Amino acid sequence: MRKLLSATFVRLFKSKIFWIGIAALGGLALWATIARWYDSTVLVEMGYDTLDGLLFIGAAYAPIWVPVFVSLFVGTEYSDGTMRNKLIVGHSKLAVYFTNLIVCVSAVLIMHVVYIGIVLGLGLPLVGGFRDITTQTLVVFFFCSLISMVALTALMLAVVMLIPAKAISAITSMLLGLALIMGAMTVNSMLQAPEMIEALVGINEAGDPVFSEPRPNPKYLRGFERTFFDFLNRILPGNQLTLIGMSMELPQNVWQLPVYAVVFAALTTLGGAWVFQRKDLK
Amino acid sequence: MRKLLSAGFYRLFRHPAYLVILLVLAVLGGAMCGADLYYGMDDVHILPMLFAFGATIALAWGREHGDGAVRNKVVAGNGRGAIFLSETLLHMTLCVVLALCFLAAMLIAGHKVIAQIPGGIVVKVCLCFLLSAAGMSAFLSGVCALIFNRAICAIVGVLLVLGLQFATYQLQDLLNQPSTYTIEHMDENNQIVAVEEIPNRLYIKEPWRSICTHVDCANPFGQMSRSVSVLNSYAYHLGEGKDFGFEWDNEDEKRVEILHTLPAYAVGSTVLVTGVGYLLFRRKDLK
Repeated sequence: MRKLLSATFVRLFKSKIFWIGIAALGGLALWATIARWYDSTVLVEMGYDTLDGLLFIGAAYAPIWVPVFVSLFVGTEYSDGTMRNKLIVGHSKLAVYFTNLIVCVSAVLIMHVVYIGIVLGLGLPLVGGFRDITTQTLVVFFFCSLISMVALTALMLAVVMLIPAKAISAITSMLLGLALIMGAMTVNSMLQAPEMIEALVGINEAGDPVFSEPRPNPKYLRGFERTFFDFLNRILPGNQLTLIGMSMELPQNVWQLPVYAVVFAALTTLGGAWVFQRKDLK
Repeated sequence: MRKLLSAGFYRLFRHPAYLVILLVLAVLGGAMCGADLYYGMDDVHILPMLFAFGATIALAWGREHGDGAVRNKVVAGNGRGAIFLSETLLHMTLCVVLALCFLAAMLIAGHKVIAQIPGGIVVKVCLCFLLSAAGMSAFLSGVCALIFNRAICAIVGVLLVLGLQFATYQLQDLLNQPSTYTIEHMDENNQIVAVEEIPNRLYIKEPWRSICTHVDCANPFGQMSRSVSVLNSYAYHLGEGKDFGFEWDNEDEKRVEILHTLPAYAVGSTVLVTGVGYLLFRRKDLK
């Protein structure tokens, strides 16, 4: 497996898609930081002179860019016959699977760290530090984001390794990534719906806002539904990354995030490797 | 071109399972959209159908190029323009049929609310939505026809839909910026001691305001979003808005007014994108 690993890492660093990925994440970091800097100079009174909410945007969009990278990088092994060649020279299917997993995870983490590095390197001198988010929260979220990235990459790799047609695997993994993001947003908004709702109905003579009588929100989740969607919010990598990207403070039982991510990564890897081992590669 | 079209439709119906999946996506999205009209529908209901458009058109063009079907058609004596137009028409028909299924499901699921909306408005919204679906398919077809690599084409097809969605959100965010914003100064007891009105420097002035509005109206995703938001406005004022005593205001009126011009934008952008795609495809080296 050592030889496979070193060969695949050499291919990674020569691969155009890897460098395009680095450039895309770097570009996103540059754009996000410069946009924030512009907002902080134009809207001085609105308090945009902070990096809050900027550090994990790349992670929140990971379900879009991770499948693009994994499907193009690993899909090439199928379309060029490299996968079959590796098996012919005596490597086991498991070794091939785990090599691809290690290389893809490394590449994804490098891209993630490049994004964070550029935001911090450019944002700290240009925009300023963090205001509402503490250093402890940032550190915990950073480690959680790394593990969630591993879980997401493991899921995408399982999909790509089981579909030999490169275009179909690219489409499937991308649609899965988009479904993860849309699911995360839907579940998040369902969980965040307030129990009671009231509306602004006017302004009184003193200039104070007047609200209607609060009434129960029909969209508020209760009982089993709430427990189920909360569980989904914690175990799915798309939800985890959205939570990390959007939160300003640590959620309750934050330790569950890495634990669930490790369980998710282990399950998808074991499932993917098991099916791949039985797959006829023709 | 008739032969090309009939061959295209024959190929389309060779995979009924895939067609059924597309139909289910459209009908489910429409049904959820109709059921949620009362509370305010979300773009999330339209997006699965649009991603399905992107995936289908990208895979179709990828297969045409990958299997050498385009070259074979040229060798058999068909013009490149005819090949491009026949494929575009095929995709447009499929997308319009799916959009029709979406609308039918939406109208059925949301019939209680929609029955209270003036019929003319509902018809205009449906017309705009169908024309936007045709525009979206023309846009996707025009771009995917120019990419030979099947996997890249597949990724670009899906990313294009995302890109159009992102452009719509960015433009509408810019256009919805208030001209001024209010800063409230509080004392230590959280009582407002002074209110300051400050001009918003992100507010776009003319001529950029008109340019951004034209670009947003020419974007197929923007057209879909704007047309469905009219139904949303009506549904809100029939439900929660009525309960809370909100009046129909200028913003709602503007949303309805745009329905008169959206079909022209949709037809114009479809013709423009198809024309550009046609010209580029004719010049492309098919190797």
